[in-house]
Amino acid sequence: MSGSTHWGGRLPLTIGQKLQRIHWPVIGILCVIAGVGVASLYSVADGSITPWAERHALRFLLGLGLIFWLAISPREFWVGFAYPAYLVVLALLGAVLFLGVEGGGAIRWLSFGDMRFQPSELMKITLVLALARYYQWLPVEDVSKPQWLVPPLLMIALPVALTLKQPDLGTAVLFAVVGLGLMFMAGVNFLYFAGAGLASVASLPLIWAHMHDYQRRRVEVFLNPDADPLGAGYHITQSKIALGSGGVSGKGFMQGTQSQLDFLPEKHTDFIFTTFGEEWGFVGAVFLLACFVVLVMMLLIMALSCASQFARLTIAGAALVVFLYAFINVAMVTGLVPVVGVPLPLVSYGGTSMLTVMLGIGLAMCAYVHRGRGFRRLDLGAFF
Amino acid sequence: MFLRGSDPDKSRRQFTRRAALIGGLQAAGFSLLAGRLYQLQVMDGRLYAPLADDNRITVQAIAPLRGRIFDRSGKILSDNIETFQLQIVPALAGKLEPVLDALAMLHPIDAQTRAEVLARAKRQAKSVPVIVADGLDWQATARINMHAALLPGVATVIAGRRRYHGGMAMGHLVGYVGPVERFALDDPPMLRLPGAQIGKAGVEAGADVHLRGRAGAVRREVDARGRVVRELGRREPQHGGDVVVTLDTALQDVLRTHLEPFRRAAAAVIDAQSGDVVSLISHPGYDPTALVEGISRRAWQKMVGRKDDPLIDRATQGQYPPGSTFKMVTALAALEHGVVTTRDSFTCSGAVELGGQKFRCWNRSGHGPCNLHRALKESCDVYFYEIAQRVGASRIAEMGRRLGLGQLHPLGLPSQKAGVMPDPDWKRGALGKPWYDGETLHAGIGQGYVLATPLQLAVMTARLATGRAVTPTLAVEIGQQPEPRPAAKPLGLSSRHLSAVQRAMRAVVNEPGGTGKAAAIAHSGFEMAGKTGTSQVTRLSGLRSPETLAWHHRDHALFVGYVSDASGPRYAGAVVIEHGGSGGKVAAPVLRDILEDVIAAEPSARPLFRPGARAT
Repeated sequence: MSGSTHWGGRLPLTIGQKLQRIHWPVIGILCVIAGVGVASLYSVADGSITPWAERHALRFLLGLGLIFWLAISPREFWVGFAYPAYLVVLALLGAVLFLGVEGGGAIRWLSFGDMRFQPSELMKITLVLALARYYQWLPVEDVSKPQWLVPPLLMIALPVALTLKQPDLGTAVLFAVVGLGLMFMAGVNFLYFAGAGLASVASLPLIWAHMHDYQRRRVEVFLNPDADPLGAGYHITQSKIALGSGGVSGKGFMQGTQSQLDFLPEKHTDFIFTTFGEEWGFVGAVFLLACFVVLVMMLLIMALSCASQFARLTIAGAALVVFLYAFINVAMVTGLVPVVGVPLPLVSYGGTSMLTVMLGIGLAMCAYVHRGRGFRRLDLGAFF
Repeated sequence: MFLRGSDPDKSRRQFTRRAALIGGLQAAGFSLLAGRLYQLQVMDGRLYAPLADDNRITVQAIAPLRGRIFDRSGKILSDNIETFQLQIVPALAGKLEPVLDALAMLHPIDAQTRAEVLARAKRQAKSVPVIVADGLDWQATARINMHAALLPGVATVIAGRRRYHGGMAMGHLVGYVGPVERFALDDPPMLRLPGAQIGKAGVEAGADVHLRGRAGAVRREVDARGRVVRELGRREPQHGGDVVVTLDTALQDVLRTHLEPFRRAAAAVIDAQSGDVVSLISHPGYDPTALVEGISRRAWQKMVGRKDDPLIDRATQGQYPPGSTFKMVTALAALEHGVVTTRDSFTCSGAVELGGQKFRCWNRSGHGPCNLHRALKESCDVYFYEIAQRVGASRIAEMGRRLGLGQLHPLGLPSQKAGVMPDPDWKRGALGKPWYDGETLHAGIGQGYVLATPLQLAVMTARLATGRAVTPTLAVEIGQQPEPRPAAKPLGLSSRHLSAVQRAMRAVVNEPGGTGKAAAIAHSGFEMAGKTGTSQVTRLSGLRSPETLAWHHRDHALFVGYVSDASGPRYAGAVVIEHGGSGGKVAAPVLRDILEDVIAAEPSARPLFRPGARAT
C-alpha cells in the first residue's frame, strides 16, 4: 500500500511555507474578475465610485484577507467543524421559516438588529464541507452501496426542502446540483444518476403543479418573453436589447447609451453582466466568461493534486458553486433560463454572495495548501 | 492499511476521471453561453442596433386609462379627462437647455418650471420622460408636433387626469389618487412613468390594481436626434376596469346632514339581509377634488394636523369603546354557554365589589331585581358584571368575533381598523401583562380594552337581527367573473336565546322604561329595535355632570339598531357621536332619522348598476 507516503510523520507547515503553497494564479484571476465588477459598477453609477464601486472594492479586499486567513488556518479544524457547522446552518435555515423577514414575496432573511443575512448562502459552503467530510470517512468500496447513499441524500434533501418552503426555487436547485455533483465526483455509481435523471424528467408535471403562481409566471415568461414586454418579461427583453446593441466590440467603457437599463432595478446586481456586455461587446463578454472558465478549471486542477478525499471534494465543491452562480446568472440575462435572481460572483454588487464565494475559495485554498497530507485513520471517526 | 479499509489511490483515480467529466460539462456549459452571446450580439446584433451609428431601440410604455367608479344607481363618482401632456426624454434630447429654449418659443415655459425640469432630469434616469407642461390645448399640441423635427426628445402624450363627482358625501369612500412616492422592487414598470398615479385612500386605493389596468408598450428604433425611424412592435394597453359601489350619492347627501350638527361623528348602515353597505358617513369629511386639483402645503397641513382630521374615515377607521351596545354579545355568550338562563335574575343595588374594587352601575340607586330582558332594556351594568364574571372574558371575546367584531371585513377599503376583542391571550401578546378579573367586568359592558368601529357595530346588529353571518360588501369590480354570493350562513346560535335578545332590543325602543325610546319610528309597517351605549372616555365622567366636563372628556354617545317590516329585518345601522354624551338622548334620534330616510329611499329595491364596456 502506498498510502503511507501521503500522510503523517511530517512537521506541521510554518506560516511562511503555507503562504508559498497558495495557488497564486487563482488569486490573480479573482482580482481580474473583481476588477471587471468594480469598473462596471463605476459605469452604471454614471461614472461615480459611490454608491457601489468603492464598497465593492472594499468588500473584495476584505474577502481576499479572508482567503489568506483561511489558507493558513489548520485544516484539521475545518474537518472537525464540517458537521457542526452544517447542523447549525441547517437550524438557522429552519429558523428563517419561523422568524424570517419577508422580502419580495419570499422569506429568506434572518435579521439581527440592522444586520440581515441569508442562511441559505452559508449553506452552500457548509453542505460542501459536510459531504466532503462524509466521503473522507466512507471507504471507497462502500460509496455506491445503497445504505451509504442515504446519509448524503438526506444531507442534501433537508436544505433543499427548507429552501423550497421559503420559497426559493433557484437556491434549492443550486443545493441539489452541488450536492449531487459532489456525490458523483466521490464515485457513486453512474447508473444511479442516469436513473435519477429519468425519474426527474418524469416528475416535471408534478413539480409544475406544486409551484407558486409567481414561479409559474416566470417560467411562462421565460418560454415566451415577447408576449409581455412590459410586464414580467420586461427584464429579459431589456437585457437582450442592451446586449444585442453592444455588438461585437461594444460601445466602449461608460458609453452604454442603451441606458434603458435605468429601467432595471437590478442593473447593479443581477443584471450587471448586461451592462458589461453592452459596453464591451461580444469580445468583452466572452473574455469575462473565459475568466470564469479559467478560475473553475484551475480549481479543478488544484483538486486533482490533493491527497485526501476531503480536500479534493472541498475544492471541487467550491468550483461547482462558482460555476453554477456564473452559469445561471449569464444564462438568465441572456434569456436561456428563467429569471431566478442569482448574482454574478465577484461582479454583482452585494455582500452576501461575495462572502459565500470568498469563503468557498478560501476553504478550497486551505485544502490545497495542505494538499500533500492524508488523514491518519485514528484521527477520523464517523462524527468526531 | 491505514485508511479505513480503502485504497487511496483508487479513490484518487476515480475522482480524477469524474472531475474530468464534470469539468467537461462545465466547459460545455460555458460554450453554450458563449454561443448564446454570439447569437445575441453578433448575429442578431444588427437587428438591435445601429444601421446608422447612434440609432437605438427604445421601449416606451403606453399608459392605460384608469377605470371609473360608479355609485349604486350609475352616477359617475370618478373618471378621467384626457389632456395633452408635454414631455421631454433627456436621453433623446442630448443637451436639454437648447431644446428647452427652442420649446419656449412655441409654448411659454416660466423660469420655475424650467428649473424644475432640469433638476428632475438630473435626478432620474435619462430614459424616463420629464413632464414639462400639463393640460395643453389642441392648438398648442399641434404647433409643437409640427416642429417636432427641431425638438429632439420632445413629445406630446395623451394623459388622463382624475376627476371626482361625488363631493363630500362620497369623499371617504372613493378616496383619491396621488403620485407614487416609493417604488417597490416588483412594481410594474408603468408606475415609474412620469405622472403615474396610484390610489391613496378609499376605493381608489383598495381596488387600485383593478382600476389601474396594464400598460402597453411600443418598441421603436430612433435615430440620434430622437426621431422615430421605425416601429418594431407594439402592445396596446389594457385599460383599467370599472368599479361600482353599493352606496347611493343622493341618499348619502341626505344622510350626511344628520351628522353635521356634531363636531365628530360617524355612522354605518347595511342591508341586514344581503350585507350591501347602504351608507358610511364620517364627519367631518372632505371633497377629493380639492386633493387632486392641487392643494397648498399649508391647507394640507391644516387638514391633517387637526384632531378633527377630515381624512380619517371614522366609519371604518375610528375605533370606539362600544359601551352598552356590546351587552348583547355578553348576554349571548352567557346564554349559549349555559351559565345563565333568560329567567335568572340578579338584584342591582347600584354597585358590586370585586377584589376590593367597586364596580358601579350607571344608575347609582340601583335597578333592583333584573332578569335579562329588564337588564338589556334598562341597560343595568350590575347584571352584566355578574354574567360576564360567570362566562369569562375569552368566551365573550369569542362571541364578539362570531358577531363580526374584532376583525377586518373584506370591503376593499384599505386602512380599515380591526378593533379589539380582548381576552387573556390578546393581552399577553399585545401588552405583555396578565389578565385581571376586574377587566372581565369592564369587557362585559363594552368598556376597558374593547374597541369596535361603527361598521363592525352595524354588522353585529345585522347578525343579531338575522341570526346569520351577514358580511358587508361595498365595491364590485366590474369585468371580473361575477362571483355568485352565497346567502349568509346561520351563526349557529340557539333561536330561543336569539329571540330573547331581539325582544329585549325591541323593548329598549318601544317599551316604557327603555333607554332608547327616542329611536322609535313613526313609519307605519316598520319597527325599530336597538340598544343605547354611553361609553366612558375617562373616569371623570362618572363623577361629574357632563356640563362641567371639558368636551374631550365627555362620554361617546352610541346607538345600534335595525328596522324590520313584515318580511323581517331590513336595515341595520350604528351611530357614534364622539363626546356626544348620552347614547339614548343624542345618538338614538340620529339613527332613527337616518333609518327613516333609508326606508323612504329603499336603496335595496333597485339592482346594482352594471356599466357597459367603455367606448375608447
